[in-house]
This record gives sequence, C-alpha cells and structure tokens, in this order.
Amino acid sequence: MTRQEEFRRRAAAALANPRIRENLGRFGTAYRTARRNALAVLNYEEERARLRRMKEDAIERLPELARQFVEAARRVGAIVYEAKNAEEANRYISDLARAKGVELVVKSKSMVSEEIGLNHHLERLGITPVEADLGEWIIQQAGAHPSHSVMPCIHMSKEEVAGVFSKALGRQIPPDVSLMVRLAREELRGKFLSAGMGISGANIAVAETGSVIIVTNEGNGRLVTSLPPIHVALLGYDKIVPTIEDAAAHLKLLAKTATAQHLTVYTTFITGKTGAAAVARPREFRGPATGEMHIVLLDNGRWAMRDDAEFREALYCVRCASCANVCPTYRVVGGHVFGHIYTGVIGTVITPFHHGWEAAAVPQEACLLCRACVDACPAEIDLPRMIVAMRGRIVEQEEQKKKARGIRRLFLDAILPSPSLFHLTLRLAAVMQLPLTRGRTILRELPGPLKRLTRVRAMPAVAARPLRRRVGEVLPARRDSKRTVTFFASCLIDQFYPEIGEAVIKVLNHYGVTVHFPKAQSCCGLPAYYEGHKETAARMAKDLIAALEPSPGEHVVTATPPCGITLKQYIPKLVKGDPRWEERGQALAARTLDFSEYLVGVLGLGEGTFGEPTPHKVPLTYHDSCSALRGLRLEEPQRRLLRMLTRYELRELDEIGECCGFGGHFSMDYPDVAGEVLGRKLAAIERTGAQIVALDSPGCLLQIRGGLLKRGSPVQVRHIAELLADSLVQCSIVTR
Amino acid sequence: MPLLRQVEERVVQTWAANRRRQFSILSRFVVEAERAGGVVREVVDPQAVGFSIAALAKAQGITLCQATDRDLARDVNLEAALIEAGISLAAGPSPDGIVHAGIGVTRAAAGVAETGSILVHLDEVEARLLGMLPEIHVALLHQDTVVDSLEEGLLLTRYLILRSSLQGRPSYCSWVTGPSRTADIERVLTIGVHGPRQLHIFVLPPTGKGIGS
Repeated sequence: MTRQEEFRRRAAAALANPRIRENLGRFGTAYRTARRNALAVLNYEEERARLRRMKEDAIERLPELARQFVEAARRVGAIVYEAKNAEEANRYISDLARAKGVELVVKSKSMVSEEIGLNHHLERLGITPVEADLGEWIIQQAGAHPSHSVMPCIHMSKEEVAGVFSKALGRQIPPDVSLMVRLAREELRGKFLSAGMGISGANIAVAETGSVIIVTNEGNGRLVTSLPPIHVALLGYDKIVPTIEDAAAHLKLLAKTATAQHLTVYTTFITGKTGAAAVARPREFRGPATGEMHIVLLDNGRWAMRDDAEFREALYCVRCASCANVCPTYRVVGGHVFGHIYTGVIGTVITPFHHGWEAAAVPQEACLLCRACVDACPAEIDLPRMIVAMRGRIVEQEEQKKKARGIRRLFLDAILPSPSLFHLTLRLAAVMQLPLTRGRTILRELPGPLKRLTRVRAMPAVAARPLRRRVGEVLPARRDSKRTVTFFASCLIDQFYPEIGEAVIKVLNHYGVTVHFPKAQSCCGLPAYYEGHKETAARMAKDLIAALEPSPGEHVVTATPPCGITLKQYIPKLVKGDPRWEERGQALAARTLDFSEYLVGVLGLGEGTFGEPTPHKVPLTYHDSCSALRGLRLEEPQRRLLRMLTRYELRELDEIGECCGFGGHFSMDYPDVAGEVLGRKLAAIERTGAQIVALDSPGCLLQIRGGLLKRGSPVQVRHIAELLADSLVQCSIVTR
Repeated sequence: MPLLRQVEERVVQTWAANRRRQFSILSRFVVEAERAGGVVREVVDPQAVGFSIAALAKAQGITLCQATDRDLARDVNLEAALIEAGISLAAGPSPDGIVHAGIGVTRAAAGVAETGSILVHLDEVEARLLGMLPEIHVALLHQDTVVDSLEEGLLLTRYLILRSSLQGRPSYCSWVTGPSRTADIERVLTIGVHGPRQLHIFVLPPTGKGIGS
C-alpha cells in the first residue's frame, strides 16, 4: 500500500466517527477567541521573538547547559541518569522500581513516557502504572492513546467517558462531568497515598539550579512529586534552559496559547527531593525515609535533531499544541491520524527522530501546507518548511526502496517539468473531456477513477483555448505609459481559468501598463516542491528563471499567490549555492509582485471609489488565500481594492484566514478530508449572507466555486481581477 | 560579586522600587487572583483571620482544620476561634490529619500581581501537603511581598531556589494560581480535581522586612 492509500484508509476511519470533528471543530472555534483574548494582554510578536531567542540560545549551548544541569541536580542530591534511547530509560526506571520493592507507580502527565512506551514496559514486569492526570487516566482505562498532547481525550464524548468510568469502577456511572471528576479524585487519592514511586515529566529544566519545572492544572503533578518516597522526573535534553528567569516568555506564552489561561494553576519548581511523606510511605518500600529523586535525561534522537540543520528548530517546541488546535485537517481527522505517538503538526515533524521515518510517512500526508500553525506557534517554528523537508527525505527513501508510485512519479518528475509534454497532456485532456463537458466549463461528476475529484466539489473543465493561445506576447497599454510588467500566468489561469488572465491583462492595460506574456513560461514547480521532489523543483526553477529573465517587464506580476511564493521564496532557496543561478533567482524574486500588491503598491490604486455610487449594494465577502495572507503577508491591498468598488459591501468572514481545503494535490488525493475543511468554509460564507465571494487565488476559486456548485448554491465566486475588470467602463483586450 | 549576591541585590532593588506603588500592585494582584478563581480578603487585624477561617469551616461543615505550624496558628488566632466554633485544630502537621483535614492553612512566601499567583515555598513535605490535599487551601500572604510582574516573580523564585541549591539543599516551590481545575472531559471547566476546590488568600499587613527573608 502506498502512503497515500494508507492515509486514505486511516482518514476514512476517523471520518466515520463524527464525534472527532464535532469536538475538535467546536473546540477550534472557541479556542480562536479564547486564545486571542488571553494574548491581548501582551505583545505577542515581541514575546514569541523572546521565547525563540531563548530557545535558540539554549539549544546552541546545550552541551554546556546539560553538563551544568547534571552537576546542579547532583549537588542537591538528585540521582541523574542519562539515557541514550527508550530501552535504556525504561530499563533504568523498572530496575529502580524493582530494587526498591515498588509495585504501584503514580504518574503525572509525561509525553516522554508515551514516547518510550513506559507503561507497557512496567506492566510487562508486573509493576502497575496509574496515570493521574484525568484525561490520561481516562485514556489509560480505555486502553487507547492520547489524541492531543494537552487534552488527551478531546475526541471522546462524556457518554463514552462515562462508559470508561463504569468499567473502571465496576458500577454504572452517569455521564455527569462534575460527578465523574469527583469520582476520579476519590479513586486516585488512594493511589497517590499508596504508590511507592511517582513519575513526572518536566516542562522546563534549569541548568543553574538543577530544578525541573512542571506546569499542571489539576494538582496531580504536585502530589506525584510529593507523596511517594521516590520521584522520577523523565525529560528530554531539549527542556534545559540556563536560569529560572529564562523561563519567563515560555511560561507567559505556554498557558495562553495552550488553554487560554494567563498561567496554569500550578507552576512547580522541584529541586531535589525534600523528604517523603510519612503518611504515604507504603509498607513494601525499601529506601531512605527522606526519599529520593531520580532524573532520567533522555536523548532518543534529540541530539541528532540538534545536529540536523533542517530540523533543529523542532527542539524549540514548548508543547502547547497550538499547531494542532489551528490546523484545519487536524480538526477533521484528529491526532490518531495526524500524528504517531506525538500528535499534530509538531508531533509528526519530530516522529522520525524518535520513532523512525516509516512511522512519520503516513501522518505527514495530513498537512495542507496552509501555514496556520506558523502564526500560532509561540516559538515561531516553521513547521510547513519542515513538512516539505520531510517529504523530500521520504521521497528519497522511497526511491531507494523502489516504493515510489509509478504514475505520480511520472507526472511530477517527467511530465510536469517538460513544457511540451505537460501542455500536450492538457490538450489531450481538453479533447478527451468533450463527451463529458459537451461544451460546458463545469464538470459536476467525473467518471471512473476520476470520480474522486468531484466527490465534494465540481471541477472546472480544461479550457478549450488556454490563455497562451488567446493573447499575444505583448499586450500594449491603453494609454501611453512607460510602465511594463511581465505576467506569470500560472497553470491554473493559463489552462483552466484563462478569463482571469484576460481580466488581469485588461486591468493592467487600463491603468497604462504594457503586459508582456512570455510563452516560454510553464509550471513554476510548486507541485513538485511541495511533494518533496526537490531535484525536479530545482530544475523547474531554473527553467522558469530562464523563461522570465529576458522579458522586459519592470516587475513580474502573478495573480496566483502560491506561485508568487514559489517565485519570491522557494526559487531563491532551490538555486541557492549554485553559482550560475543563485543571483538570477534572487533577481527574479525581487522583481515579483502579486497582482493586488502591484496595483496598490506600485500604481497607487486603492484610494477613492471606482464606479457610480449605487443605492443598493451587493453583499460580498472576501476569502484570504493562505498563500497571500501568511505566505506573502498580504491582506490589506486586496481589501483596499474591494472597498473601491461602489457596487459591493464587504462583509468579513468570521473565521478569517481558515484554509478552504484546496491544498493543491491534497484535495485531489484526499477529497473527503478536504471536503470537510471546505464545508466549514462554505458554512462561514453562508453566514455572511454574501452573494459574491471574492478571492485572489485560482486554487481557492476552484475549491470554493466547485463546492458551492456541488451544493447548488447561487453564490458567485470571482477573482479580484475579474471584479475589477467588470467595473472598468471601457475594455479592449488584445486577442490573437 | 558572587552570583547569589547579584541576584539578591536585584531582589532588594525590586522590593524597594515596588514599595512606592504597593497599592496599585496589590489591587492588580487582587483582580488577577480572583479572575483565576481565588477568593482574596485584605485584613487589617491578623487576629480576625482565625474567625474568618472558623466561619468558613462551619459553613462548609468541616470538622478538622490544620495549620503548618504553631506560630502561624497563633499569629492569626486560629486556635481560639476554632475552639469557639467547636472545630478541631491540628497545629503542626500530623500524618493522619493531613489526609482528613478539610482546611489546610499555610503561608505564602510572595505573590505575583500579573498572574494573581501566590508562591508557596514549603520544603517540609507534610506542611506542603496542606496546600494540596484538603478541599480548601487558606494561604496567608503579607501585602509587601507581592511583586508586580511575572519576571519579578521569577527573579524572586530564582533567588529562593538558588540560595538553597548552592548549599546543596533541596527545595520545593509552587506558584499557585487559583483552585485546581480540569477541562479534560468535553472541555467542560470543572473546579477541584486532585488539589483544593477552593483557594482563600488573606492579605495581611506589611512585614516591612522585605521579600524572601
């Protein structure tokens, strides 16, 4: 089974359980507001830059800080064990338990213990581990794995939880949340008082004092580390920071981003073992009356991550789970699909280092590359960049093992990079679709193996005449002007939506800009890049540089923001270090502007009004493409242009910035998941009461228009360029 | 200057600077601590606190109350107040008492206004458990030990921990921000899980001795 097929299988199982997306969907909406309110008390950008600098420095100095931490912890009597891998850590803890006669272990939340499979290991040796965090306890009783790193059982309903309680306590428990919490308190109190060992994780470890810092809300962390005579703190090297004061930005941001609290209820600083409670000392315990603290410092791939330039920044994670909370596909499939043992986006990115590349290959498919997580991350971690890097390595490994799928590889590595083959393929498709389209531009249902493409949205037909056959190479301005641009059309506009390209040209010409349209241009290589075919993407980058370089436009303008990102950001990266191409790549990037950005930034549009004042205004909403909003950081120019149009009244969506679920290949490969994401978007559109959806990216247009058509909605979807062109009184389009 | 002295110097400076705006810091603390779900009372006469605790115990039907030590119980007139109300007191933790006490009374070493947190810095495990096991935690905090920002609170925490750590002494310090809570089941906020269900903070008059002393 290919990884795509396996992902489809897992996603289908998650989609069959509506509870997951109901809970996560509801939570995601509430989370947005609560998080925004919690963060309003500080300067988010400043604080996260501070956290980032602190983590960068700590990881850079890790060898020295780790030594310092070990010394300081030993100074206060803690016993430190440095474990290279899961097996060593597990063995140390179980040997300790057996040597001290421990039969019962209470645990506070520790993702590292999940990472190493500690519970399973202890159980096999006849030692009973009991999770004390309520969510973890429920998960443990249910025999499941956490689906979220902060809220382990967010995927379960209270009825399901009541079922777990009934089974664990041996009597019927009604689904009453406060009653269940009360019962858990009673049930676990006895465990705290009779356990011989308490195992905790750590959110932060302090080199200067040898302290571990634990943040919890329920109070189990303090009991686990106070009542039993032995406390074992299990943590990765990545948690070490220089001093307690360095934890400031971390503590400030963690609670606000994780649970929208200003601070978690308990922030506990544990420095050595300060005695053992006489009340709780179990009879079987053989050890000193004052108790012992053991610290297990775990590597298990962390040092390798530190040495890997592409993945080092994953070590800056503070485990707030924001990246999962804002992720449109996580909200649909949950952490059992998007994740391995560590869940969500960061969980998937670190999985190869802890659990191997095989374990990460399928979950990473869940990423749409919408970048919502980048803005949400309090440590400014560029997760999508790492997802793309992962795909690169996964593809390499598949090549080696000859596991790459034939057609996909053929398309990405052979057809796409060859302009003649690629365009021939599209022309063939344009002919072959005729019996289906019978002249129409929309395909509501595709047959056979292509059926998947139209499951949740209608598809556009391939244009009978692509833009490159409709217009010439030079499209002169309506009035005399020295302004010139080179238009990079993008495949979607050229081959599927040539009318958008014509609108772009019409608007530019109207404002005195001569448009050059070099026909040597073809695909920018984004599909290959996003799917990890780096070599192909680099080859295509060079072809595009060569195609656009001779064209005389002052700027390169594109009306397809994802391709804009390729030109401005990925191409310079792809040719970096190649002396023949590096500068030329940078020159192309510097020359490239998005359509709206060019109109507002260069031509100075966006002031005043455009058209006659009208008594009746048509309600219109605007959908931000992920690529423009977060990739190119453009949100104002588009709105300024729309506000100029007197015919419309702009009504904002209530979840601005949410992805529409297109994601290029994603919506082709995983239409059901993409369809759920799309459904949220369409519902938000309907809530505005708008008759028109304006947007700036043809990919989003394909997805949203297709979705609305499939639903039979009368709402129109238009590219900004089309709305502007419609409003122009006069028009002259140069066609061949 | 040795490290500890440097940190101590900064703590002293912070305290001196904060004294001038003690009241604005205190009011910020009260707002934030209550926002986090704590109940804050400012007290002019510490001797009155005992009666407040007795009333609280009576209202909740609590029959056993424990304070961390005799000095603390005496400072707030706890014994007399509880006897009057017919409630047992254990001053100084008894292992049995900790498990059965309905109210645990401890000191707080400091407060942090920005987050509404109190610093409970109790190294003796039995004393510390009085803020963890009972349904109600009563904490006594002196007005002039409240610092303004989270950064100042961490500076103070660093000082307290470093002081022990450099001498090879273990220590245990918690910032407590409201009563124990969970939202693990269907995101429904529920107060009182493994820790106290109620947190009462009595703010006592200034000591004039500085923080961390």
